[in-house]
Amino acid sequence: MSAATLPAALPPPEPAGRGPAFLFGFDGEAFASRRSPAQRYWTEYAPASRAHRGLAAEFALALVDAAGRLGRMEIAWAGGPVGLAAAALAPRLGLPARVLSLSIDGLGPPTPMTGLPARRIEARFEELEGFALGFARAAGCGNAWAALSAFAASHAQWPVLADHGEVRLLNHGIDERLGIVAAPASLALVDNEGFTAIDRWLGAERRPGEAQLLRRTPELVAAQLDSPSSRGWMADALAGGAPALRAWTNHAARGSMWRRAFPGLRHAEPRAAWPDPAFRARMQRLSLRMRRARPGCATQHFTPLHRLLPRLGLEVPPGLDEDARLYGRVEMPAAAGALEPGSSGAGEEAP
Amino acid sequence: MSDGHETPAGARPGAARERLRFHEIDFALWRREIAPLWHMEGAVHLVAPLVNGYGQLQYCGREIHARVRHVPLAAELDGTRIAWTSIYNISDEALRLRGIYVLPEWRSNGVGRSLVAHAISLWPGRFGRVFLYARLGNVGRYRRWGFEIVPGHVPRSHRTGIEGGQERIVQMMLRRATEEAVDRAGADARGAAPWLPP
Ligand SMILES: CC(C)(COP(=O)(O)OP(=O)(O)OC[C@H]1O[C@@H](n2cnc3c(N)ncnc32)[C@H](O)[C@@H]1OP(=O)(O)O)[C@@H](O)C(=O)NCCC(=O)NCCS
Repeated sequence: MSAATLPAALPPPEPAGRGPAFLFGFDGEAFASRRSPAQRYWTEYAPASRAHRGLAAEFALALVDAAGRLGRMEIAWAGGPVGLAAAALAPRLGLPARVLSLSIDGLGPPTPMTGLPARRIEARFEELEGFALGFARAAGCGNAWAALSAFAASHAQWPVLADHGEVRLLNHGIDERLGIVAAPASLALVDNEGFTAIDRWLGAERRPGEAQLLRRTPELVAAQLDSPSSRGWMADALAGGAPALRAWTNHAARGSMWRRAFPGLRHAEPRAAWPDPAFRARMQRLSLRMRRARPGCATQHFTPLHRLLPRLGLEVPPGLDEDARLYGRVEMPAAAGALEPGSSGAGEEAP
Repeated sequence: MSDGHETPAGARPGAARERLRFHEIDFALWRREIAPLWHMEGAVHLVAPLVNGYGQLQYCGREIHARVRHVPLAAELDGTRIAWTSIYNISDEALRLRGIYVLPEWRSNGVGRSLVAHAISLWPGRFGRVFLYARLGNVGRYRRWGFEIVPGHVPRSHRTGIEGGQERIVQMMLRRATEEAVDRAGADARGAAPWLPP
């Protein structure tokens, strides 16, 4: 990472006392755990209170904000961009941090050389497996890669910054199985229930930590959606035809978003850091076993982009609200009603 | 009788003399009884209350809990449930029908149509559009019920049931205010299906 990619002067952190930028919940309970498969999972994004300052600056601000809450922190790197960017920025921002990196059966990305003190954990796949199945049952998650991030975090001795999260966008108009444009573009942000399993697990373990750095401030969410890569993805998806077919999800755009914001970053997504085919096949089988260990936790929540962008103070590209015209509007409530928080914050086990 | 199903002796509505009744039923009961539609008899607890339908659901965040009203329904004849559907609002202006299932021996007697009309009639008129995903074999029938294929939509894949058998489905829409057919069907529903043989 080059210093040139960092903002010259960091804006001051947000005043304390703002509500959470990101909430998740099941039916009427926020930051809770699933109690039955019939409960509806949802996620909610708070409105932005100012214009964003670009991805690199907003990421740095969110990191400073998280460090302010955690004190010294251990960045549990699983090979993803969140942990890598945090490890690269922390020493420049003067944040007390160290890196924890992971190798499994001798595989795994090398510890990033960022100038931070580092620790390396050598584990066996069987250990990851055992952890992942318990994680699936406790937190409701059928995704072995999320379990890998949590497994890394489980070795932290300080408050942990989990290397986790992505802003995943999807065009519902694409039928990826048939490889066709099946309907006009309908764009949404996707939140899998498993993406917040690590929050539930931290809560259940009563571990101080940050699992959603990418959602820590509305302005960081806005910066990701407003990045040239995300905007390019939206334009392709809305264009229809061949460009739309290539832009079913923003998988490629996420990689280019990180490379543009932090030109020195090596890895675009956690899985790329674990390229071994046998390892990946085992991870796939592990996901399956996790879903069997805890069925019914694989739901998704979609936030239509035509609703999210204005909330974050972002321009809505032409054509984006076509599905609102078709499926109807939602009147904004005067004030969002308070929800009951889960009684213990997180980690209450569902039967 | 359609679909090659034999009518059990004495099971015709004509023999029943009772009239069709529609009830909102408990979701747990609903999902157990409608599960054969998706081949999910062995995993009933995994039948979700709401599905998004490729971008239909316009509510997000806690609105999903606070503002979506999910109504599981059954049609009863002589005190026996013979058909199921469910309906919920996907926005402040539109509805979605999810799952329409009539027991084989009662199909093609107007039961499905009349249950659907009843489901829609529960909602005020400002919910002016009703969406559903139709299996391709049902498109003609739903056209006769007043639905049209949503412009720009073509058949797409759908994974049905836990074993993941694939089907082609297409989205259809009914405009409540303009479709005379709906009014007719709605009147049928409100009149407790007068077309059933006495
Ligand atoms: C599809 C399904 C829900 C339709 O329900 P249904 O009760 O069989 O359909 P209806 O009888 O209400 O449809 C009206 C038909 O009955 C005929 N009918 C007979 N008597 C009638 C009467 N008195 N009033 C109205 N229609 C009558 C109509 O002519 C019409 O015939 P059509 O097939 O040419 O359209 C039902 O067949 C079913 O459960 N199929 C298997 C599962 C399935 O495919 N579900 C839907 C997934 S999209």
